[in-house]
Amino acid sequence: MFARIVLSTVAAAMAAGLVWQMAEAQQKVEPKGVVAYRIAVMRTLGAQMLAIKTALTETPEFEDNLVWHAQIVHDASKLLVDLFPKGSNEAPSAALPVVWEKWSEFEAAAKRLEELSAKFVEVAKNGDPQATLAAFGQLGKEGCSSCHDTFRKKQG
Amino acid sequence: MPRIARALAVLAGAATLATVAAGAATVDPAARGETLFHIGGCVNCHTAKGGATLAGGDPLRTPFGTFHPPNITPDPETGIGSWTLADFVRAMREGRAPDGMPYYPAFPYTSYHRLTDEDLADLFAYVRSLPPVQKRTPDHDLRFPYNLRFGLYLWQWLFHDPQPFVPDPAKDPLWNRGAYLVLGPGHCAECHTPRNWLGALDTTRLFAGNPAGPGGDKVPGITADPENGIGRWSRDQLAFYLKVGMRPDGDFAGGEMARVIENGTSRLADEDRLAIATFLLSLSPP
Ligand code: HEC
Ligand code: HEC
Ligand code: HEC
Repeated sequence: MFARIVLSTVAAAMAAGLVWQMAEAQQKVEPKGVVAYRIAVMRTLGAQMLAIKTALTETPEFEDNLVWHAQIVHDASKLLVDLFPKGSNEAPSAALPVVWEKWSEFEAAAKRLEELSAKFVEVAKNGDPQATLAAFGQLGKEGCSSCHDTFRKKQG
Repeated sequence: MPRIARALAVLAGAATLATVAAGAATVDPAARGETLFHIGGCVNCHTAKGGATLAGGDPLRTPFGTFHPPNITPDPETGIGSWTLADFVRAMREGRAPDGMPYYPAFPYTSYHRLTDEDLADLFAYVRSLPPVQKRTPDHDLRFPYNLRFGLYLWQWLFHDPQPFVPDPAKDPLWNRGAYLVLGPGHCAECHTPRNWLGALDTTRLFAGNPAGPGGDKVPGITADPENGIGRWSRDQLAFYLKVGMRPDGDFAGGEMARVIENGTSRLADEDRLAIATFLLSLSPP
């Protein structure tokens, strides 16, 4: 029996190693079509969030631009669901099949970003950096991370 | 460790803990326990999605089978309402039930054993202050031979050393606080370290990342390695990631880490996040 445990564990480890190597190989593929477009839009979101954080914590001279960045996030949030036509997760996409298995939950996650970013635009307009930073944290955790948590492959 | 070094370590530890505790001395134990409860991530496993707090978690699927994290509310019948503090300390430190049976390391007592006596008492006080919920959870559904709990006596003998955290006297209090939070309650190694074929952490590759983490997916390394770790992150960037989940490139955390941040590290004091970042960025790659 001991030998069986050893063998099955070794086999499992080898299979895991193989899957891992395949995943590694996948990362080398350049994204195309819908996947490339969607990744570009997501990176636009990331760039706005980084700009907002930098303006709030390091470069107050750009604080006047906060509303502009916030508005881009809000406008883009309305595009998200259309970037995920059924089954569009060919390599190297990190979108999980659960996007389409739980489509209404996915739509709700995009809606959540839409609502939070609308609220964030208003907070940014008020011009209180402390309040804006707090709202930024909520936007990131509940707007971005909570969707990545369920619908995106882990960033190994 | 030679006895003198150990005595020094204990002294330094007492000093560190005294400083840490000084600010909180007036607060009641349950309030102090709340911070430990958050960074301990108890909710991530013991609360089902949409379910009552700590009344039993969603099934945890592993290569050994499926675990059903039990109800740990203060309900005397279906939870841990009849437990004494000594029972709780034994579970968290030794990984043993009140009747002496060993627990599976799916319950990360393999990290929690590092909590100090004071912190375990505070955590117990907090858990006891939550509402009791009467709810039975299903038995684990494990494959043979893993379903034989007594096999864990051997496992624990091989891999489990139930000692509390010993601070490193050569390092400053901030580093030691970070080491304590990461290695103890934060149980960060449980996901970020590869495991050997018996499911024990490979301590020679601590925080080097795990090719087969929870759910079988890859978990990134978090040593100061610039390629396979977070060596390019500044301490402030890392502390900010632990607060809101934003990586230095503007991307936001997902996977289990989103929950570790939401339920855990985002609820810590700024000083504690800085401590964690200080410790992690001091780790050279294995
Ligand atoms: C409704 C779900 C959802 C929301 C909301 C969402 N994302 Fe994403 N995001 C995804 C998915 C799914 C992927 C993986 C896409 C792929 O690889 O095909 C992704 C990928 C990304 C990427 C990686 C792109 C790359 O380089 O591969 C970044 C950056 C990103 N998102 C940023 C953000 C930010 C910032 C926000 C919030 C302002 C956000 N996302 C909100 C689902 C979401
Ligand atoms: C339950 C498993 C789990 C635990 C516990 C855990 N992590 Fe993570 N961690 C992950 C996963 C999965 C990712 C990848 C996140 C993603 O997909 O965006 C990650 C990512 C990270 C990253 C970012 C790495 C990168 O290159 O993007 C850091 C830093 C990190 N974790 C630190 C910690 C710290 C500190 C702790 C303890 C307080 C911890 N983790 C506990 C699973 C975990
Ligand atoms: C990674 C998932 C995970 C996390 C995080 C976790 N637990 Fe558990 N816990 C479990 C599992 C699984 C069991 C069942 C172990 C067994 O049956 O051998 C368990 C069992 C227990 C038990 C024994 C209950 C009984 O009825 O015998 C206690 C007490 C406990 N956990 C407390 C905690 C506390 C307190 C925390 C937070 C500091 C915590 N757990 C965090 C998974 C987890």
